[in-house]
Amino acid sequence: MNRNYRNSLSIIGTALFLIFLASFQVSFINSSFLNLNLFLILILYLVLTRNDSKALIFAWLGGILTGLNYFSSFGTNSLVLLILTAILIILYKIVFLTLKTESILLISTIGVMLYRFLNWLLTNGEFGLYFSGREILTELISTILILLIIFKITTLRVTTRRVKTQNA
Amino acid sequence: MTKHNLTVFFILLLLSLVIIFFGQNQIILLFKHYLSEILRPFEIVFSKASNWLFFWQSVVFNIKNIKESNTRLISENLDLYNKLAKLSQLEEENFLLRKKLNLSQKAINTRLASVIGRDFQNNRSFLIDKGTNDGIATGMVVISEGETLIGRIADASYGISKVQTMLDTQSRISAITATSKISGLVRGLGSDVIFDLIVKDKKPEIGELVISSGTDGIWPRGFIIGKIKEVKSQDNQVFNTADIELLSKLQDFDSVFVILSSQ
Repeated sequence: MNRNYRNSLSIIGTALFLIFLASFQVSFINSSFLNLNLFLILILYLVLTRNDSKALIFAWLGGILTGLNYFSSFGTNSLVLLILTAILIILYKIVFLTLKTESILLISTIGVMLYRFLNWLLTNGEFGLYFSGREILTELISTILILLIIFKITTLRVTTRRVKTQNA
Repeated sequence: MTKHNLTVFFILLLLSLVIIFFGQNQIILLFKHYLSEILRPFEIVFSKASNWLFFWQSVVFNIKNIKESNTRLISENLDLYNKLAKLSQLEEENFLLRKKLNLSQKAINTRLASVIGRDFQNNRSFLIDKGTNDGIATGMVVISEGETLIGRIADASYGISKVQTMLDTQSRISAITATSKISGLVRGLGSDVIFDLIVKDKKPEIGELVISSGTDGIWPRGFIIGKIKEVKSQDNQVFNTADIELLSKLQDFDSVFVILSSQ
């Protein structure tokens, strides 16, 4: 396949994926009892797999798309996600050197707490609103669980692929 | 961070700051408008799917509650029938008196809109599927079917609008209690609302309805906000405050009414 053709296809695919993810977050997840931030999970995944520049771009774009329905001024959400990603990238490079269950657990916890803290800091909110109640706990647990499942699936795929190539 | 990542970060940071500080610029408004239009069809599909799914989920998980509330509602209904009979007599009387005094009836022109998107983890804002092409403008008041106040239009695009609910910390509504006529200010706390600035020697009754008084010139008069849940009076405070219980959760609304004009 032509390289330009593939590039444009991947750009269209990424744009569609982001639109899909943002609409799903705003119209489905936020209306439900599920306390999940899909963009935060995506950013954490990209940071953990060391796709730093992708994580920064996706954070900004995700913030812009979900920021259309954000109670604070347009652009604040992307600023929050962008700063959060930068902090996570630096933190991951300094503190966590290998991708282990503990690092997934810790970086997810830091990510969720930091996202709420930055939101509280940059928007006109009450501290208790972001750090009390069962919402923060469920968000924390579901974020960690989803990330662990994603990494479990990806490592399982890699292992089966390796076994297949060895057998061949 | 590598040099490349740092450059990406600073470019995006600059872009975010430009968007925040020049939010009212025509180019940014146009960008926002097109983005909203692109997301709109997806949001409509997902909101319909979520409404359907969560309706059935709540039906399945709340059978016991539904049965209990049904019994309670039957007795409430009987009580309301009694009140309705008295009310229709009063309405008739009111109509005759208005006719005699040449007073016009209160008429409001509304537009029905569906909720297609919500804010993350709180109900401080939501999106509706009507915009400037339907006559919606920033500042218009949004109510529910039972004429309960919900919020105001914070941002209106061509086919989509953002509603800032009264739970938002920037929301201030001058209000009055329905029976004891105690006036105060209803403030949004982010996840709840509070009835503030109540004169020290006055205490509203628990369960009493709080309605908008219209004295602020922003919110129309006579719309229900909620009912008094708990009155708080402290000696070191200048005013009394009261917690307000909203009559229905803002999360439960699938459709709302936007007041286009009222006479």
